[in-house]
Amino acid sequence: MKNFLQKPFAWAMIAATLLTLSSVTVLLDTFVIQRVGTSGEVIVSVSSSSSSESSSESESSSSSSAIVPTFTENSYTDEHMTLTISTLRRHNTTVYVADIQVDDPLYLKTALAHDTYGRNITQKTSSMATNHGAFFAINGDYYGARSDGFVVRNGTLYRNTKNTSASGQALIMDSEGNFSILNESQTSRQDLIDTHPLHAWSFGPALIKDGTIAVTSSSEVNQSSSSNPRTAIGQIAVGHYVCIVSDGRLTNEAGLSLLELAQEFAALGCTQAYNLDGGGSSTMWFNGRIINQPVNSGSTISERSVSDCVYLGYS
Amino acid sequence: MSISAILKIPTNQKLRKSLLVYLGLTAFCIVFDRVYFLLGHGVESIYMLWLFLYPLLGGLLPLGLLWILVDHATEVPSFRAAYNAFNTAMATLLLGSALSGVIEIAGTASIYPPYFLLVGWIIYAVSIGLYLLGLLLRKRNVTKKS
Repeated sequence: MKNFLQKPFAWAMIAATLLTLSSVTVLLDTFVIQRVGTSGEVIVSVSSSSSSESSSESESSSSSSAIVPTFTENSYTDEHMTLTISTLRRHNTTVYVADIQVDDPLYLKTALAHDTYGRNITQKTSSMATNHGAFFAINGDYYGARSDGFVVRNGTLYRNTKNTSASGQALIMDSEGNFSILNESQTSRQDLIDTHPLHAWSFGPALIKDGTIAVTSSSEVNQSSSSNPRTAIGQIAVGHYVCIVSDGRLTNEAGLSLLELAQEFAALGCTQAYNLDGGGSSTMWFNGRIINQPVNSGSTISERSVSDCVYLGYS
Repeated sequence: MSISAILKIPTNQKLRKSLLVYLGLTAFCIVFDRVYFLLGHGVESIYMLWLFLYPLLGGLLPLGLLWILVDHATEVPSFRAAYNAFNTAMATLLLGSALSGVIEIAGTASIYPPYFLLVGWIIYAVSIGLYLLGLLLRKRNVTKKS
């Protein structure tokens, strides 16, 4: 011990080894090691209660084979749903707007990567959508990257740990198909359940709340730069929703600020709109192809694996 | 820990070398933050932005003061164990802050980086304690000899 302490490189080597091992452990734990979480608690039945709900699961599964969808390059129509995707150019950015109308809010569904709730469990949006027989999907809030924030999917409560940061807002889609925005720090578990949420997403911030734009030109997700690829969802009326995905991080794609994104929703007449996970996660998938240009790492266009997605479909 | 280990005295040259190392580390942290900022599509973290303050204020400043304040005609009082602990503390703090930055920029979370910072500051305090202990033991040795 006496000799050891007098050897400068012995101490340095041991300290460096310990620090390296601990750092690698932290990085693996944060980004790689999968941890399966709770199986969740069903708080809203998705197969009965309202008339719309009763028709959806049983009828939809039996009737889906009878439904004859009509696809075009940028639209889908059947007797229960219509979807139209418009491609716009705004603020030196390509913006993809999906206008969705459903006769039952249960057709707007969510999927977890590999149908499993947990940390670092990821799958590409296109893969999740394909596995669920969807024809349209966008990425969700990537709940698995964080340990707090409400998570409700298809009526099942997986996490009620509040995101207590100043921007801790959750988007609720209730069983009637209405969107509302909650401040998580002021919402108890019971308050959350009382909203009868089909889905609760926790990313934010809210772009439009109760008809009013809720962000400013300086609003941003954490310390992000002002323009980025974005994914967001909004509501015009019951059964009428809008999903917007924008490109960004490319030479001719500047990306949108949150305010610019909110203004797009406002122009479409949305009363509620909410920012989901953006950046490299932003993905819009329709009928077997990626619509936008997802930039996963650097300036390479490739789809990122994420925790969850929002999709339209019958299963 | 042995007294001789605490009293092992690096030379003035070694202190000068340490000053240069911490100056280089400060510059590296600034460059690292800028490069990471560009590669991260402009996403910033205060842990990464202020990373350079650890080697600057925690390393360069105290060693610089030591360099300025002591009498160079005699030896700069510095001690092996304190010196090792000091460097380990700086490395731990830098790593903890860098990890916090990487995790924050990725938009995820971990409970562990704050422990790096806590442990780093504890080792930093220990290094100061060892230094003061070294000074005390050195003074006693000098008194005994005289």
